[in-house]
Amino acid sequence: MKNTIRTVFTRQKWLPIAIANVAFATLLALVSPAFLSLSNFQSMLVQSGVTAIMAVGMTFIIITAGIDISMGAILFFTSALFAQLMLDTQSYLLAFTAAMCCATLLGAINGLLVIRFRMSPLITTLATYSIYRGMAIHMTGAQNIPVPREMGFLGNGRVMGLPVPIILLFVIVVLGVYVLNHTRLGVYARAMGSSARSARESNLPSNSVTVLVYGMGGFVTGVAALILLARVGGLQSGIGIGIEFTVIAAVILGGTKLTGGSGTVIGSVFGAFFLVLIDNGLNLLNASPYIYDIVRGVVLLAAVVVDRVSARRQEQVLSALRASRLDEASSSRCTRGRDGEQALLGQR
Amino acid sequence: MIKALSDSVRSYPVAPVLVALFVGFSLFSPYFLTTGNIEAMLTANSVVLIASIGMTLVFLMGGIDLSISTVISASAVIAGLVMAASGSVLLGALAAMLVGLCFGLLNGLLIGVLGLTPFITTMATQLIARGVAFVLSKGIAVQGTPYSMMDFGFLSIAGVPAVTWAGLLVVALCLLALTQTDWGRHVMLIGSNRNAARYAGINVRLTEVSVYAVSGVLGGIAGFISIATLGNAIPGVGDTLLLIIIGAVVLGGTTMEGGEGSIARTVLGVGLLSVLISGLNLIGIAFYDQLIIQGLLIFFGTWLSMKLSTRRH
Amino acid sequence: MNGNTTTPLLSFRGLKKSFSGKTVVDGISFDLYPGQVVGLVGENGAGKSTTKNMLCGLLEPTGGQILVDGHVVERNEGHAHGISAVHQELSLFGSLTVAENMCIGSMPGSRLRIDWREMERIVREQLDFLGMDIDPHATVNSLGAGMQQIVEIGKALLHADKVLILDEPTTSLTAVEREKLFLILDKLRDRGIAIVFISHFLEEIYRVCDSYIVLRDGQQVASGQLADVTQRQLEALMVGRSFENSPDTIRPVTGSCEALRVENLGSADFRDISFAVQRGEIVGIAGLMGAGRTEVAEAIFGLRPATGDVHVHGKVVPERSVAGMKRLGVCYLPEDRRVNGLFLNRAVRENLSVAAISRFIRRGLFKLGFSGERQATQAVVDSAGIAIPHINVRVDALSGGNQQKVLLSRWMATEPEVLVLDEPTKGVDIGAKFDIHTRIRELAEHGAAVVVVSSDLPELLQLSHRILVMRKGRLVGEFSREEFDSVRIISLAASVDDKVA
Repeated sequence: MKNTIRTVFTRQKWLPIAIANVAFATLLALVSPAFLSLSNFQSMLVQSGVTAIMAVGMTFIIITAGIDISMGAILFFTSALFAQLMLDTQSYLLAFTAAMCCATLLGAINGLLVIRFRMSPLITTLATYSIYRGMAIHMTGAQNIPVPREMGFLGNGRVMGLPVPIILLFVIVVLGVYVLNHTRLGVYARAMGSSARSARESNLPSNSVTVLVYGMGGFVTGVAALILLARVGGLQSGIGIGIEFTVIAAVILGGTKLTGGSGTVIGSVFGAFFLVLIDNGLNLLNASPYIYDIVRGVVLLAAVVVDRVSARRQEQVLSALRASRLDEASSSRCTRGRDGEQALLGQR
Repeated sequence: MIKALSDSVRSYPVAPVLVALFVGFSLFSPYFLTTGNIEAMLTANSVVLIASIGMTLVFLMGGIDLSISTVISASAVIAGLVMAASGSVLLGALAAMLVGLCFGLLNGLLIGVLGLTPFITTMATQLIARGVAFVLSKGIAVQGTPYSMMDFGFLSIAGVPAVTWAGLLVVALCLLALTQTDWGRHVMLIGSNRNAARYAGINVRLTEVSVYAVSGVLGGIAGFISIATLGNAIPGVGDTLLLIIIGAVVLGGTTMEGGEGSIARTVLGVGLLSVLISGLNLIGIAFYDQLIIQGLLIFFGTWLSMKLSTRRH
Repeated sequence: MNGNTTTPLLSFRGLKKSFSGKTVVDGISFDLYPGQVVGLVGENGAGKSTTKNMLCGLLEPTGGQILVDGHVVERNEGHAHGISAVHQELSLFGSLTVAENMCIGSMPGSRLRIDWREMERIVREQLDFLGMDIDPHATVNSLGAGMQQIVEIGKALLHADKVLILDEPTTSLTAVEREKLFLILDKLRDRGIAIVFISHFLEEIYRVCDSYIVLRDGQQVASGQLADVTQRQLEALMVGRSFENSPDTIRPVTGSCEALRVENLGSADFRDISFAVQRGEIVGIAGLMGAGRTEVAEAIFGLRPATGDVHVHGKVVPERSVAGMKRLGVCYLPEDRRVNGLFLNRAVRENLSVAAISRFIRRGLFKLGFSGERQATQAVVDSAGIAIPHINVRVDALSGGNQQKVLLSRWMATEPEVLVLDEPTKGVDIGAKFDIHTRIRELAEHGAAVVVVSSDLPELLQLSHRILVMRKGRLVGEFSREEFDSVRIISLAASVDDKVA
């Protein structure tokens, strides 16, 4: 029994963060009954939406042992392009298509650079972070641009009683889960993160997978950008600064390892939601907004420390298992061991 | 002679680019090659120089320290508060270094002893340090910096700003420690192969903790220096520096994988970025276009360094 | 399968490969018929891996012809021609399941959906064919080395099922796993698959193969039926001279002064390990892969936790660590030099001086600097006969033998009185092996106590005064030089009665 529980935990890497979510939510509900309302949950889901959507894309990238530091810049670029095009042309169709294409393209460019120049994804996307942000500000002339009021629909509107961001999040999560678990792309992504050498030797289409995965990261960042733009009401210079770290934090909290090879989409979404829960809790406590960073940092540290400690315990269990096999081997083969000694004695 | 020259170009591929940029900007802008501009350039980049040295040490050992940027902020804010309360510059400096040391030790213990991943660990401490800076300063510049501190920022010795001297002192000390002591040798060897270092009897944990601690202290010193160059302790001072710090280090040719690179290269990398920023400002390039150019430079510069160093072997 | 046994599946005529003008392999010519098992043998550096890579299509030959089913082809397409290879380093994905690993090359189902049921069916069928009971849903990480090897073979045969190339498939297997593998190979041969088997162990060649090809210095020096040639003759062909035996007599241990004593060492990987080594004595530790020999050696140096005591020169070591043992004059040469021994992207100079820095340098003012290191390390390089262009060359540019000499010299510089050498000649050429053996003997003659852990039994028989045998984490036998008997040692090390899972 205990064994099966352990297997479930090691296989379903999203379980710990899901349990943490439930536990923390219960705690908050005990402290403040208002917390337990449906509307509050909806608003928290909406709040976590942008991070969660981006985290789906980041999960794929991290699973291939890559990373995309430029996601915040892509978010800003897409928002800027959309706002600027709306201002210039008033055409939703044009602005939407251009923004989504551009977001996907910027992500794919990261992938292309990674495969072409063979530098670490961290350095590569650090450089494109600077380039994308510069290009976006260049495009808008460093102006804040409001978007039309109807855009608010994407951020606050409802379809069949459900907030639009939640629906978008749901669609993207379902797609993400499907692609990761039921398509070749998903298997290849895990394979590449597990061993780049084996992937090369098995002739996996690593280059296409890399470009696709980074491109998908760009695409979901585009969706997140439109939601964010709608919620904020217009382009602001601070959009997307530092969000890549929040997204990475969500993915890590969700149980995905930076070394790649395995991870779950669901875990990352729970991770993003947990970050919002923390904000909610701090809000209940009327904490200074500046303290949020500290708490997030501590939670992230706690998560990796717990993960490390449990990994160590697992190692201990494994080595105890090895040791017990050693004992079995000796008891069942006692006679044989003596045979060996006898052989030696005989020779002397 | 020519061979020696080409060898040094290969070891320091950034050097000719730096010279070319320097000459180029001097030709394009009459203000570039003035003592005023050179001094301003040196002053403005002393913070980045000191922090980059810390990052270089960590990179050489095969790690990364994302927290160094906001450790600059946190130590600046605390030093600013200490100085405002006590009026003593010395106490401020000590406070800044102590704050840096605490964060560095935290990183070092988590990474070296507990075995956490450097990227995530320092990402978390980066958040914590940022929070500390903003909470303690309530989000605004710390008032009440002693005048002697401001004077220090304007002080010039032998035509070179005092803050730059401080940076050069840090460079010299770290260069000495890295190339002339067993500790430095161990840092390089751990970066090259951590396992082999353990099997060779090197105290890997202690060295790792010490390198992160040194990196933290250098972040603290950089934070203190930032008060001198900016006139106030600003809680957001480090937020935008991470890109430039990592950029300068990799541009110089120190790789993130460890065991390859040097402090001299980072100094050149910092030099290149500062000449670039100053020159672009002078010829009237907008800040956002500078971001693009910086990104391109970091990308292709790093690629070039990597190419040349692999061809060398 | 190919019923027509008169046309070879694959033929090579005068295959040649040069890298930047330097010819590495030349004149490889042979035919592969269905159901034939060819042993490809040769010393390290004879050109086996280059040949292997040309056979499986990874390298394009610079000369010669390749015929598939009797027709000349432009280039070797590997998989497309039905050729699959299992390399020494497995190309598996640890975090993926067995099924995913085996099918990774051609996933059943459409681009948009993997057919998991079909995949499971294919994998179960393949595993049944190999006669292995492995859970297709288990992750590869959770399998032992032997199982992983079999998954790799199953994977290779799924993609291409005419020719199978196996490169040193047994190095990380236990005896039982090895026997299991051989049974599978027999089965494959019976089904008409042609196999190229590359191995260091001639016993295995005789067990598995029916014909042979000998490579020496990049040339194919002999080929034919194994039945026509004795193992001695084969060895002679590989080495190019008759196999010289090193001195059968070694200088006996003089006096008895205990240098190292291990008492009741125990951990998760081994139990009740107790032995002692005298000054001037060479003690070999024999055993199969996974018997716990390396683990014991590492535990002596505190590299892994263990209970029990270690005594050096009669005194118990309070807290075991590499540095502490170094101070006591005890050193350890790790098994895998690339992973645990060398600093690959650093200079030979730094690699040599790291363990005993103070013996290489003169510390100047304030104890700074490394003056004199260059000359001192150069002197070591010269006296140890390490062939390098200059002292600052990166150590990964060296051959295996020279790398091992660097590692050995590093520890000799500490002037150790007790040495524990783990696989000191693994993957080095015969010349370097001879040099290393000579140095070990010299050390012992000068009074050092030496423990040699090796999977190369002839090496231990030549070198040691005494051989200890480990099996499954326990010491199960001890032989003094007069009692040496390779058959008995092997059977003691490999007498296994447990079944493979």
